[in-house]
Amino acid sequence: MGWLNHAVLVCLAISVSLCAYLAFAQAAADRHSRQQTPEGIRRAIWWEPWNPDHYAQLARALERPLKAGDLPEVVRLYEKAVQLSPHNAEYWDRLGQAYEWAGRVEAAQDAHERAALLFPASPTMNWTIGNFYLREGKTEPALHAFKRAILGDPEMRRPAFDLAWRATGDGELIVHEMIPAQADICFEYLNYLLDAERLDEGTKVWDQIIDTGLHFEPRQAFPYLDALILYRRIDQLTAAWSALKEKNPSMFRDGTSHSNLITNGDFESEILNGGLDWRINQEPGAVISIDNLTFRDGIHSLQIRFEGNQNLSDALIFQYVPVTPNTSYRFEGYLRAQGITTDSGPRFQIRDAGDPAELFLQTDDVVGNSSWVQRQVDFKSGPSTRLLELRVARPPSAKFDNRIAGTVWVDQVVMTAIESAASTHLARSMTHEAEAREIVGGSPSRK
Amino acid sequence: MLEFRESARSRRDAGATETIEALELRGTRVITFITGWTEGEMYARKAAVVTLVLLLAAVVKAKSVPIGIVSSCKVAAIHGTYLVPGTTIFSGDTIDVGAQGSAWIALQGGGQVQVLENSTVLLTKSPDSIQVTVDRGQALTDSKGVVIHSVSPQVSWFQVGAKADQNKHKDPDCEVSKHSRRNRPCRDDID
Repeated sequence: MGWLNHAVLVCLAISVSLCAYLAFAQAAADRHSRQQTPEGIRRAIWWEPWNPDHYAQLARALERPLKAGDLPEVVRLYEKAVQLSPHNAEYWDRLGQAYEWAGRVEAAQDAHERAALLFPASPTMNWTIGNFYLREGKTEPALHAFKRAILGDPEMRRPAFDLAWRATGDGELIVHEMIPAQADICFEYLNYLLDAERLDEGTKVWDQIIDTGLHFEPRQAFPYLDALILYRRIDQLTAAWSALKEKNPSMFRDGTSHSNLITNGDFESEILNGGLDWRINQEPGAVISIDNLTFRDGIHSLQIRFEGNQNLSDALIFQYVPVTPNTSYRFEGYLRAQGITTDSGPRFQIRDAGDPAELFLQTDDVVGNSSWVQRQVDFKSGPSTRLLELRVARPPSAKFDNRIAGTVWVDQVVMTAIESAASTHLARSMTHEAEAREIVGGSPSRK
Repeated sequence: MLEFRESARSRRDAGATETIEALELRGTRVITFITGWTEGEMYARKAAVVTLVLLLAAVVKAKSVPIGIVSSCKVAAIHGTYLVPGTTIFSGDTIDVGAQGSAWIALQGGGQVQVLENSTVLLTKSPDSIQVTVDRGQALTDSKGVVIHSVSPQVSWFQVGAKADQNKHKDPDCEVSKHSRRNRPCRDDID
C-alpha cells in the first residue's frame, strides 16, 4: 500500500501547487488589470490567458481613443473574448461594434444579432443593434429594437425618442413602430413632443391614448393641456378635458349643474392643480386647504388662512375657463371671512387669460368678519376671448399695516352662459367692448 | 423617410411619342414633364430624370447621414436630450457638454472627436471631411479627416497627433472594469 500512499501524496501536492498557482495567477492578474493601462492588462492576460474579461478590457482600453492602427488588435481581442466566452452578449455586442469600425458590416450585423439573441431583453443590446440598423438604413428593425430598449429601461426613452426623430423625422412611423401601448411611455413620448414643440404630433399621440383606452392618471395629461393653453388651442383643450372627465368620472364629482363652466366649483372633489381644475398658487403667508367643517353647500369648502406676515399681491387659487367670444355670462360665488385684516381683502377676479386688457373685472372683497356673502357679476366676453382666468386674489394694500391675516372660505362658484330673454336684454345693453357690471356690491373695473 | 418615386407613361400619336414623366413624393406628384420626342431622346431624358431623382433623394437623405457613434459620455446632451453611449450622431447634430462632462465620438471611417466640458459643437459631414464647429468650449481630434473650426475667437480647439496624452483627457467614470463600475455614464452601465 506504500505506493498508493505515495501516489495520493503526489496528487495532493500537485493539486495544492495547481491551486496555489491559480490563486497566485488570479491575484497577479487582478493587480495588473486594476492599473487600467494597456500594458497592465497585457500582463494580466499573461497571467490569466483563459480569462475573457482581460481581452475585452484590453480592447476597451485601446478603444479610448481608438487609433486606426489598433483596430485589428481590438477586433482580435474581442474575437478571443467571444471564443473563450461564447455566451457573453456584451462581448458579441462589442465585437459587432469593432467589426463595424473595421468596415465588416455583415460580420457586424451577425455579431450584434448574436448579442441580441443571447440577451433579447437587454436595453443595451437593443440600443446598440437599433443604432446599428439605423446607420445601415434599416429603419423599421431599428425602431423595433428601440421599442424593446425603452420597454426595458425608462432612462432610454428620451434618447430613443430623440434619435428616432433625428433619424426619420416621421412621427407616424415612430408611433406605429416604436411606441408601445403603455400609458407611461405614451405620455413620456407626448411630453417629449411637447418639449420639442411638435404639438400637432402630440395631439395625434393624445388621440391614440384616448382611442386605445389606456388607463392613466389625470395628472399625466396636464402637460398636454398646458401646451394647448399656451398655444390657445381652446377647442382641442375642451375636447381633451371632456375626454379626461369621461375616463375618470370618479375624480370629477361636480355637484353643480352641467351648465356650470367651473370645474369643482363646490370643492367637493380633490383639487387636481392642473388642467381646467383649480390651480393653487402657493405663496408664503397663505395656507390653502379643503375645509370639511365650514361650508355653504355640500360638505366641503375652500379655506385660505392668511398668516399675517405678507402683503400678498397675487392670485391665491385660479382656474382656466373656456368661453365663447361675444357671449354673456353670469358668475356667482360665495365668500365668508373671519378676522380678515388690512383694507384689501380676498375677492374674485375674472380676466382674459391671453390678454387681461381685453377683459378684467373683479367683485368686492371681504374683510373683517362676515357670514357667507354672495358675489355675482354679469359680463360679456370680448370678441377674441376664448379662455378666461377665474382667480381668488388679494391685491396688495398700500397702507403701512398691509400684512393680511385671518381666514376666508370660498364655496359654490358657478359660471353659466346667460340664455334667458332677460339676460339677452342685459347682454344687448352692454357694449361690444365687454363692459362689465357688478350686480351685487361690486364695481366695474377694466384695465 | 422621404422617398421620391419616378413614374412614367407613354402614348404614341402619329409617329411621335408623348411621354409624361413625373417625380412623386409620398404619392404626390411634385415635378411633371410632358414632352414629345424621338425614342433616343426619350431614353436620354429618362436617364436625366433618374439622375435628378437620385440627386433629390440624396439631398433629402443628407439630413440624416450618420457620421459617428458616441463611445462614451458624461453630462452631455444632444438637442437638449441627455446623451447615452452608443447613440448615432448624424450630420447636423449639436452636442452640448456641461461642467465636468465630456463626450467621445467615434467617427465612421476611423478617428475620434472629444468634446470637453462646457462645450457646444456642431458636427456636419462634407464630401471629403467631417466638420466640427465649436460654438463654445473645446474639442479635440486625432483624425486628419476631421476639420475643427470655431465660430468665436473665445473658443479653442486642438488637432492633436497620435501621440497626444490620452490619459490627460481620459474620462475616469467611463473607464470601466469589473472593479470600477459607476452608476451610469457609460454604455457598460446601462443594463
